[in-house]
Amino acid sequence: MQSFIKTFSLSLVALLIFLGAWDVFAKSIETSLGTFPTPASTWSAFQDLWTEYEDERAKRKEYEEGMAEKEKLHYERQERRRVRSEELGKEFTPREFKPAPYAGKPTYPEQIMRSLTTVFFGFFLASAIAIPLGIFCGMSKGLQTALNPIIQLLKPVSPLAWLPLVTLVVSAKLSADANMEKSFVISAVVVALCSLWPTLINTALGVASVSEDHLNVARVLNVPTHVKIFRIVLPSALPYIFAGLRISLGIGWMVLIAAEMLAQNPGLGKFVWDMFQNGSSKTLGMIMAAVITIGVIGLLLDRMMYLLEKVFSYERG
Amino acid sequence: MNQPYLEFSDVTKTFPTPKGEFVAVEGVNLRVHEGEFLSIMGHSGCGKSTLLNMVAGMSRCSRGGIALKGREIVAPGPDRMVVFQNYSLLPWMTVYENIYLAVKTCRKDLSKQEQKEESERYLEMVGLSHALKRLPREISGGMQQRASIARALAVHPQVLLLDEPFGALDALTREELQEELLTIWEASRCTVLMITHDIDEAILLSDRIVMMTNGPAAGIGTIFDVPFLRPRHRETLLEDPGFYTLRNNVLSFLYQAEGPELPSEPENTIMYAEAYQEQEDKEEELVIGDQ
Repeated sequence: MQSFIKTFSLSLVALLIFLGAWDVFAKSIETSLGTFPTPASTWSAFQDLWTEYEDERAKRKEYEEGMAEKEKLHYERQERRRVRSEELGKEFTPREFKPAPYAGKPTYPEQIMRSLTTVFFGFFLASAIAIPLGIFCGMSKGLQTALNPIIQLLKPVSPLAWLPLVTLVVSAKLSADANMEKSFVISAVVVALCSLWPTLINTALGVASVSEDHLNVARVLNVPTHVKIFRIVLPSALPYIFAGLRISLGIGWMVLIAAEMLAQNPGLGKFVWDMFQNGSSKTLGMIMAAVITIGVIGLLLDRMMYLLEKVFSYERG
Repeated sequence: MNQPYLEFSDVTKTFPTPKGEFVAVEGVNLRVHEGEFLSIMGHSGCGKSTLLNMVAGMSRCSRGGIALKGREIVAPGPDRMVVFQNYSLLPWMTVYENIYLAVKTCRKDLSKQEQKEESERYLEMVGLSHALKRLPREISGGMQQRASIARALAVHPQVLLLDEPFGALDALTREELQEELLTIWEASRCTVLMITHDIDEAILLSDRIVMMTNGPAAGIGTIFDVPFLRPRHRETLLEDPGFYTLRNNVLSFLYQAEGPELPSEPENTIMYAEAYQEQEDKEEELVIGDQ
């Protein structure tokens, strides 16, 4: 408890010093769009974003209520027509009510949700490829040797380098009536391409370093291959795999912001880009608010992976 | 006695090294009868474990071969279970799950219910009924080795291979486990090959003690018969003068073997020298006491 108080108070002091320094420096930086956002203007940007969200929600509610009213009128009209058609002995085909979708702009929480969905989609895509491939690499020395140069070559490639190619491929392959938006798929694929490697490398390493003693147990008992993989190799490699996944998600989140800016996926990346293009003194605060949001979410994602790692690893469990 | 149960014929193992081939074990010929308890002794690095690994099927003989019931051993199999010195329990499974995995894999003739009962029965036999739900790291070394023995026995192997099973345990636990192993073995009477460094352990448990010469190119130096009647008890054995004669014979063989060609493991050698010194001191005391 004592150490908690110590940690907490030290962190608090550091945070206050940081905010103070930020305030002083921000005021001294003049940009073409006005002064650099101070802690205060960032805070007010957060408040603005919140009001905007509430306004938008109210508008949406109003719109939906209006739609419900329209729907009611529509069916009343249909009913009247049906009755009249019956009187005249004519055939009557009822028409469905098709509400027009709400066309309001996305609000900040919606953009955050969009970013999270995109990053997780890309992350799961990467994991679904990296974990099985890593297991095979770890179990076969030959495959590991064969794939290693390719992995080492592709690993350091920047997301921005992938983006044009991914855009072209997705545009060519994804039909216009597909359920998913192109910008979403492009961003997710770029996230996947960049967050693949840590999981792949760590899984291979974890699988390759399964203790000889435990493998001997498998050999003496003559266990079938699937039992060997799922009961012996994987549990043993799990701490490595989770460490890899944690790094992967961290990289994925960083990559996502850049990908969203360029692919125009309506998440936090696009928000930052749009605010920059907007170019008013107020939007600078918005950008700073987005920066902090990105940091906080990245931190939470990392903590989440850390907890998962703890839950699933026999070593710390 | 006419058809040997486990037969070693000219068993030789060489390992390739940068400096050419290293001959670890050479020309081992040995016949083991069904239900026999055999100890293998010798200095560290003399190829005892190499020999055991070949019986387990984890490595192949470079020359010669080992046959179990007339069939050559080419791969590991549940008819030969190994108990490793470091227990080798899977750390992410409970004690019960460790045993159940073995029973489920190797005893497919049983129904699921029977497999469960069998796992529990063997854990009860080694006195671990209270620790079924524990993870290996939550129990002591002695308990882990009990679980490991239960796992091996639950598979109903034809040959049980023990690689210094009690080497990592403290003296008291070791004695306790030796006696338990004796009781369990006398009930099941499977064939056992045990590597050990403990002379008393070898005499207490085995029917014959195979003494190996020093490596490289280690072979069988001599074989001591252990004539004591079963069931054996440590106390009665310690009162038998034959026990000390046999122990001295084993000791003097080890002394002889300890010569210029000591294996290149200084740590173990020092440990040994100390152990022998202790042994000698004890014996001197005994002699003085007698006078």
